[in-house]
Amino acid sequence: MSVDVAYDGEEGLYLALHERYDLLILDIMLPKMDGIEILKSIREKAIDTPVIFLTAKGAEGDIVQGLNVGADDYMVKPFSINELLARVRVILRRDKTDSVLELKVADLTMDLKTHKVFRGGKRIDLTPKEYALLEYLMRNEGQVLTRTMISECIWDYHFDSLTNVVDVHVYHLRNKIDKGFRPKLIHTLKGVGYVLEKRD
Amino acid sequence: MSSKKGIKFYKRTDVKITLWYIVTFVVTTVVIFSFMYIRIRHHLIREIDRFFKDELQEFAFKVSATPMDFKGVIKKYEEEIVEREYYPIYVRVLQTNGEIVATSGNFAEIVYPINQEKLRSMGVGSRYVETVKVPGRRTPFRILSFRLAVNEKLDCVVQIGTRMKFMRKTLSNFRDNILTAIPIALVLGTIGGWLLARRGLAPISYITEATQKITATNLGDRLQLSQSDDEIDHLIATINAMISRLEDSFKRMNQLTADVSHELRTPISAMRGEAELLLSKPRPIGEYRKALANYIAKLDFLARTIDDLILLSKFDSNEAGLTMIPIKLNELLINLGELFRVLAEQKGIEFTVGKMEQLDVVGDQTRLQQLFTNLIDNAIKFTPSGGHIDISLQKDRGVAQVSIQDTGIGIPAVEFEHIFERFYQVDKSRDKERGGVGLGLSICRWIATAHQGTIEVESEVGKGSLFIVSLPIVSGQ
Repeated sequence: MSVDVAYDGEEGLYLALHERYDLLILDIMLPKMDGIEILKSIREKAIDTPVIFLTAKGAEGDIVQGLNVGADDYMVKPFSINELLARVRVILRRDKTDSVLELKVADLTMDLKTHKVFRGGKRIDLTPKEYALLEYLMRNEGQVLTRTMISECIWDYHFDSLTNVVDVHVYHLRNKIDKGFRPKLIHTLKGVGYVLEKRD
Repeated sequence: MSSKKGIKFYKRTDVKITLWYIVTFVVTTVVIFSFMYIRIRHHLIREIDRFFKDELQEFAFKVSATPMDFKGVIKKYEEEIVEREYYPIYVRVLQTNGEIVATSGNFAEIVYPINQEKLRSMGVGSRYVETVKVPGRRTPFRILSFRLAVNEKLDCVVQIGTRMKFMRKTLSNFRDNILTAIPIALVLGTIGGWLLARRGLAPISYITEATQKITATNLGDRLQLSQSDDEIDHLIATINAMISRLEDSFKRMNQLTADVSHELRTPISAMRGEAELLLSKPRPIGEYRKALANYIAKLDFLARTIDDLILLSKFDSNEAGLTMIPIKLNELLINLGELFRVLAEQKGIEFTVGKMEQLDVVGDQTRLQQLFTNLIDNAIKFTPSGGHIDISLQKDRGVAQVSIQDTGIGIPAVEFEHIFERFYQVDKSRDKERGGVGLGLSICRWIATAHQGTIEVESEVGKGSLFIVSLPIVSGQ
């Protein structure tokens, strides 16, 4: 993996237009040209490289604008490095699972058409939100998902409540898909978030 | 007076007022005196004309008494009135064709051209008067022409004139008096104007001085009212009210700084103590991990407190930067309910989502989530196991009304008005163990206000609390 760093907006735009990248991380307030302008120019040239905005707090209007002009995600400073990495990884592998009809991790399967979930051939009943949470974890198999990412994605919840509410939801889901089964698929990363994967 | 120091002379208000006073005074005087001058002049001329009328009558009477002997009559005139000092009479008689029939000696000496055309156009009994300048004479003459026609034989034009010397003298006397009076009045007026201006402005100097003396350290001081209940008194009252507001916000700011310091200091001290203890001897790795995880939680809490404070200060300065978009309030609440229900259930509290009318509001999604999270979070914190929390949404008199009802410990009625204040906690010890520094509800109120909404509380100790948030709904629902 290699990273190019641009120190102002014009340089960034030049690099984005002339090199091929897997992902761009853009600040909004940049010297010479702001991030929103850069993203507009990039999207006008039909370059659909994923973009994450990294911005100082208080620029919420800018964020909405940023998402409108085609950003894939955004983060507000100060941010946790783990959170950023988790988001980068999710975006990087997103394309690969878009068009499948069934998700499968070890003996856990999810039928995306019928919304049925089986573990070891046994049907598991999930509430709609549990289903959404599991789908999110399975689509990002092996990727760490932070609590904020989970609450944003599943409940459209953008405020950090500082409670363990996501943990409780994951705990409930775990009870349904991991309890009584081997190997355990949902793993906790202390201080970071959750990952669903088969570990040997 | 200190307020006048450093102000250029011509810029000083008292000087300006005095100058204006003088200008107004001069203009008024000139206008009035000019008017009087013109009136007097007019009056004097009319006086002469009346005098002519008398003379003319007498002349006509005399002429008719001595049939047509104009020369004789004029001769008699010359003896009587031509030598008068004021208004000597000049008289001559013309035929309607302009030929001179008779003239007094003095009339013969002056040049008064005979205007044939005018004479011809004169009807019987008509007259005209004019003021004329006669070559070689300094004073103008007033001359009346009258067509005297008694019968066929007696049809002539009589011209009677006089010098206007006396009138000129009267007018110039009047003018001289005025020219002497104006400078005296001007001097008196200037002094009067200056004194008035100074007197009127004296309170301003006092206000300036007294206001300059007020700084952050003596915000308790006030300006003295003059008890005259005039504009100046109102100004002083206004300034006093402003100082009061400044004092209030200063006090609030000081209180806030003290509260903030305290709230930040306490967890930091605790963390420091823990860290020292942890470092005092080697410990198993698990203990370090546990402590660090605990630190992250505490740091998150500190960061949240700081975020909340920043948010409140942004609300205060109207820079909160809310992103207002149409929001389906019922969906937002249902999602919140589903998210937080598990927390309540974990604590053994029944959590229900009641009536949810489909209502749209315009708002900032994150801030509204923050508002309802704070209320739901409080409800969960202050409701004991076995209790019940219900959230519902309904339309009430054109507003969306969100109710969050719990069966918790409740709030004493005397605290209702305080709970939305910053750093206010109903019971410090009880709130502390549940986390929170007393900013949540003041943020709730600010968010509601920023959405043109309100937040109200009903509560009874031991029975529970009901928080009602009212938000304007999108029109057309």
